[in-house]
Amino acid sequence: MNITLSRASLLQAVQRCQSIVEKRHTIPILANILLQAENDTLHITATDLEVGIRSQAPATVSKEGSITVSARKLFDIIKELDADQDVTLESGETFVSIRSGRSRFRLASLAAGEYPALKEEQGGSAITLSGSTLSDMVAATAFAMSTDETRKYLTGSLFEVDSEHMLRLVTTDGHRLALSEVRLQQQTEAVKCIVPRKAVMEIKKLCDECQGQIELFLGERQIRLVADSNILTSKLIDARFPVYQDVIPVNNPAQAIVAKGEFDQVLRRSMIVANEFTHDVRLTFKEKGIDISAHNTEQEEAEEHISTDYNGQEVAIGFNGRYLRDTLGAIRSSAVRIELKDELSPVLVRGDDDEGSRYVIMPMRI
Amino acid sequence: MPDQLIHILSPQVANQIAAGEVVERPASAVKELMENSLDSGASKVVVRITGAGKKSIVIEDDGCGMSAADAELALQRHATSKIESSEDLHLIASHGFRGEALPSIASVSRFRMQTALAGSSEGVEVRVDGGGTTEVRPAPPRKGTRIEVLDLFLNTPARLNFMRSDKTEDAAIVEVFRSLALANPSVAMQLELDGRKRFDFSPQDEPSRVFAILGSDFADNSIEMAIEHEGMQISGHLGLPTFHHRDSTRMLFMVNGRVIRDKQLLAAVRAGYRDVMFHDRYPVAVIRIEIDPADVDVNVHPAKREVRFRSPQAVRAGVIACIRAAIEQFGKSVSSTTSHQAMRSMQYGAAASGSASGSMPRFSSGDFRGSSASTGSSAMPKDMQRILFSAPGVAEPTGEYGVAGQLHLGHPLAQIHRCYILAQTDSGVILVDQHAAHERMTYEKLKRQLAGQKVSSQKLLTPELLHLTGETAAWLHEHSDDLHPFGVELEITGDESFLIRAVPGMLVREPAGELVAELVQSIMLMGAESEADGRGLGRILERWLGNRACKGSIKSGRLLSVDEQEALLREMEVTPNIAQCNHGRPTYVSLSLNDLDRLFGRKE
Ligand SMILES: Nc1ncnc2c1ncn2[C@@H]1O[C@H](COP(=O)(O)OP(=O)(O)OP(=O)(O)O)[C@@H](O)[C@H]1O
Ligand SMILES: [Mg+2]
Repeated sequence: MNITLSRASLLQAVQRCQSIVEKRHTIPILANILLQAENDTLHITATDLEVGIRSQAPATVSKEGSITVSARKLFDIIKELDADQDVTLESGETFVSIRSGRSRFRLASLAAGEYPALKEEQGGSAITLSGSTLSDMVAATAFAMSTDETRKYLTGSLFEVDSEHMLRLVTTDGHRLALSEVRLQQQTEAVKCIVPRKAVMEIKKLCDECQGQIELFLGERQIRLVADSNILTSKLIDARFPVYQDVIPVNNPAQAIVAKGEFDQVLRRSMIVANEFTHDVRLTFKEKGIDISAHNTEQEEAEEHISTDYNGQEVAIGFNGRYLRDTLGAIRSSAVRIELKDELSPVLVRGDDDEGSRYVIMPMRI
Repeated sequence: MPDQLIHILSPQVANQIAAGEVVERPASAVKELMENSLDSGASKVVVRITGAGKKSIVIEDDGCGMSAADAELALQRHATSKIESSEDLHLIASHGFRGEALPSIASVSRFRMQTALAGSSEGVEVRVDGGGTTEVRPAPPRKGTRIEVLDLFLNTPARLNFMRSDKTEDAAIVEVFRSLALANPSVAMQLELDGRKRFDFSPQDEPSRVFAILGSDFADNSIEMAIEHEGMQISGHLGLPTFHHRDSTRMLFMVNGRVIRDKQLLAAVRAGYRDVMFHDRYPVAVIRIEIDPADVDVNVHPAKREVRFRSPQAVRAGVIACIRAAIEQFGKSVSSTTSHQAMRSMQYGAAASGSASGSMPRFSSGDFRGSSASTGSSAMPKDMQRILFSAPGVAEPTGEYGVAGQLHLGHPLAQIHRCYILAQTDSGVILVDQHAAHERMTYEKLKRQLAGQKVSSQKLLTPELLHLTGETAAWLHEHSDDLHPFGVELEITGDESFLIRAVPGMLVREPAGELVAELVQSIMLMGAESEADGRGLGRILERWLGNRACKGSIKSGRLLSVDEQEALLREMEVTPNIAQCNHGRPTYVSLSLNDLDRLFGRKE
């Protein structure tokens, strides 16, 4: 293999791939990325056996061929190279040489034949939507994924298309839930699957980069994203997602609308003296607004007030303040609507002018 | 009489049926006969086994013996000298009381017994073959009784077919023998298997017998503890947390001198050790419970392996109290196995370097078998090791901060392999395990956070299914409210299924099912009051927090600046229970200048 290409496009492609690579994998070749040169193109592949990504960059190919090399080192080197010089990559017997201007590097390589192939599952439902829409949906929901490995099915995000052609992303850790949905422009069959956290985060990155439409294939065992010339594949979490529909309250009688920025700031301040393990804050909803209070074991306390309209009975509800702040962080509107019933029932939170996203938070008994 | 279908069974058949329950296998016959010998007041009992007890079991004692008339009667069912009225049943102090063992054994073997009443000038021999007629003939006088059981199960081939390998049956006999030897230290006891002597115990005091049976390692790695609890005397030899075993077979219980198995007591012991032991390891312990015979029913199991307590809760609480008292002591002594290991690798630099080079030195992974320590021969006398690596000689206050003011850990000289801190004190040096020390500090901090607080409870969005079985499920049906103070809300949805609706607010990131199952187990064993102890919080929460402390602690392998090292030492000095990490491993060891001098042979 012998190729020359612009540093910028090489850097971008390598960067995309190297974030997939596990830093400490037990299989040495998985610390590498696969470089394949053919037809004026450099293809780059990375995988951790769960998630795989394939990217490309235009190149002048003087000799076709393929090789694998450490993702980390290649990335670190290219990052530091002179931005205006082209880069030449040439493979030797057991190494790859990198040249740029007056810089010369030699990196150990492993044969391309050993690299695990990315398998693309055939079939599955295909969806087309704009990259920025999907990116927004992930941004609106990713925070509520669980990290509890004993409940694998909560450690990812539900991707669901229903019979009304709504695409829906749902995440929950058992204490709160985030949902974001959008109506698709095309006819698709109903499908659902759980996408693991790592793939969800990579999907977002690729969508952010992409200006136009992306394609999603939701299969039996695999999800595949095609964004520009990049392809991401991921295994799915083989489990059933909890029945979430029933826990989203629909007729909570009382509601308050608050300015998101003010609310978040008040919470941030109060939580300085909240119990550092439970982060509990008390919200008292009353006619003239919301009282917010917190205290910790050292008897330190905070009391705040936000004035707003509230149409229900006076009620005091305990919350994990972090759950509230996470939710506010995911909402894009400048005002949020809080709908509640009593101190122990699920509370619905949503952006005031946003019908696409909904958040449920369970109260705390404090 | 065609219309009469019911008739009384012949004694022979009745005895065989009883034998089915009493003598399950050769070891059960051995147990019954040894117990009879012990009941007879023997000072020496000799047991000889051939062919795993299927060929012959011979037991000789020097006890009170029997007259000719009694000897004959002893082979009748329900013939006993040990109780008379049903009131006696509630006050049983002897092993036997049913008068069933001898006739049962005799009904399924060729049975020979020679005996004489103590002091009498004539003896008697009794023979029974397969439960047939009892032959009685005069014999020379003798001291005590000798019983021979030949061809056990000769007339119950089905039973014989159920026997396991000779090795397994021998092992069961050894187990029976050891248990009875443990319970009767003042009696000399011998066991021979196929002509080879397996055990030969002379009359001993109680600790000597315990260590003769559980090994001298146990002597070096256990402490004695005795307490009184609601009228019971509970005493034991309790292994250090660092001296653990792979299964539960090294936890032995005696109730009024009777060795028993009791699942709940086993669980209680594990619960007692929970704070200081890895969850997949088992303690080593011998525990004696002396209790008013009226408060314990021994007549519940055909082989008397189990008993029933009038107040099981009180007994379990007593056992746990005894262990916790011991654990307070443990704080002051570190397993000699650990120091032994340490010494060995330190002593012979050359010999040890093979294993030490390349990998990081590990002080104690907590995984030392008791036996591994005794196999290697160390050139250093035991007391020397103990002086060198024994527990930091500082009293550990339990609870209050500030009392540990006397603890001086000196100033750091270096960090070794990013795992240990070497510090110099006025009188020598100290080695600190940075991870273990930090873990204990985090844990104590968390505990303080909890103290006196009402536990907040996070509602679950979707309830989580909890499946429990048997006794636990039944208990929970009546006590689900007991979980409230811990922040757990449960809904009963079936005999064995429950829904978790809320979990403790501070543990929202832990797996709810596991957490609640363990909480239930623990409250069931010890009662909500004793779990939510003086500080108004559950040990169980503490333990889960302990896990968190472990995860959130500085890992081995992290480079610490001199300032960080200094800060760690200062904080250790004011942390309660700092001598050990949450798994019972030492957090630091000290070496005085004197010790160093001795180590290099400058001083005796
Ligand atoms: N080794 C012995 N020395 C003296 N007396 C004995 C001996 N073995 C048995 N006996 C006498 O024979 C009686 C019957 O013994 P057996 O074991 O059948 O019944 P037990 O011990 O009274 O009750 P259990 O059936 O509960 O063991 C005993 O009560 C005891 O008086
Ligand atoms: Mg008996």
